Amino acid sequence: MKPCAQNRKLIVWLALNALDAQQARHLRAHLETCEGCRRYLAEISNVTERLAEGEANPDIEASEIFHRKVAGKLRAAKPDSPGEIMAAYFRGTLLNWRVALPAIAALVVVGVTVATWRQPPVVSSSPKAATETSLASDADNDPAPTLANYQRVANQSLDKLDALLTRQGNRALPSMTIYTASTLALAKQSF
Amino acid sequence: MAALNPTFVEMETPDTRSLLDQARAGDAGAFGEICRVHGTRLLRQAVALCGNVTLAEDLAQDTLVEAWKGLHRYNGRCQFFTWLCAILLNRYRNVLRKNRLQPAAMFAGRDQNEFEKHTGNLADHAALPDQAVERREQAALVRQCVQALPAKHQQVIHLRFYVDDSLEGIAAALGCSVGTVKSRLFHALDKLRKMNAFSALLSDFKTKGGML
Repeated sequence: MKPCAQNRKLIVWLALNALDAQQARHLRAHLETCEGCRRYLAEISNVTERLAEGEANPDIEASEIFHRKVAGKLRAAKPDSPGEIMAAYFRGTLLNWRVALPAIAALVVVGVTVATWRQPPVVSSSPKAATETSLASDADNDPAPTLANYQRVANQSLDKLDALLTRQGNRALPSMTIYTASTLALAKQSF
Repeated sequence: MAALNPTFVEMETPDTRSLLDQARAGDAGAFGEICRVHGTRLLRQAVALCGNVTLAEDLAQDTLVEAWKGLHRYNGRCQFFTWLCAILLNRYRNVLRKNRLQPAAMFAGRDQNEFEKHTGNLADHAALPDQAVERREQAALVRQCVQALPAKHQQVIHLRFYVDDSLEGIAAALGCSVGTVKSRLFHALDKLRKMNAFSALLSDFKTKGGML
């Protein structure tokens, strides 16, 4: 009989005394009714007991020669300099993917933001913008605003005349003197 | 439920903590004293890992030197000995990687003789009580099974059962989260449970009276 899949980790942690009291209480209640989980706990407990029985060679002692060798090696070695400490810190930090991945992602975001900010504005390809662009280029080739020219364009097409008048209406007025009654009198005096 | 092994009692006292503070301030003499406190225990751990006394001595010495050089990395969130063992485990893994050594050579060929010479048993099994022989061979078998695990699983098993620090201490020594330690322990124990060598051979060992 197999143990419940969702309980396997909890059973191992129970065997290691690594469960909090509430979780342990719930699990023990479940174990009373589930033979698979009970058997799994028995097997894991057997493993942990065997491991805990292990000995770290209690007969072995570090000899005086061992300690002298250590002392000699310690004299030859010096603690890391501040530069080495910093290098080790960055090496350790950057090799840690949990730090490296967000750092790389942040660099990419900053790079894209800077590149976008520096780029000149792109000409929009929307239909409205395209119409305005074509009107601007046509305006350079428009005939002079005389009655004869209007008649000639009207003979070709009324739509063309409409477009011409719209362009000329939208175009900024050229800098010219506007004569009024008072300015005209002043102009006559100057002549 | 696994009882904690009484052999592995934490050795940090106010005196060693004071020595540690002095060593952190750059006092090499104080660190030498710390080495004397932890040297034997560390050497035992190294022998338990590699089963070769000569290699174990080199590993333990290099571990202490590396600890001295990188003492600034010890943040006090785990027992100092746990931190030393984490260094030892990393060094041993590097040695295996470099030399492609076979682990768990404790009871193989000349390493067995060397081990027995150092432990003073001089291969006189008749002089040892049967129970002690059985216990030692069981322990060797358990270690062989542990050494068949991936390195990261070996580390947590070693630190939990042979160094005996808390899960938080193990996490601090390995530079990972408690959740990671628990997860690795789960996978390691589950793999050991599935190992025939671990369950069947040990029961076989008992029925045959310790003669594998």
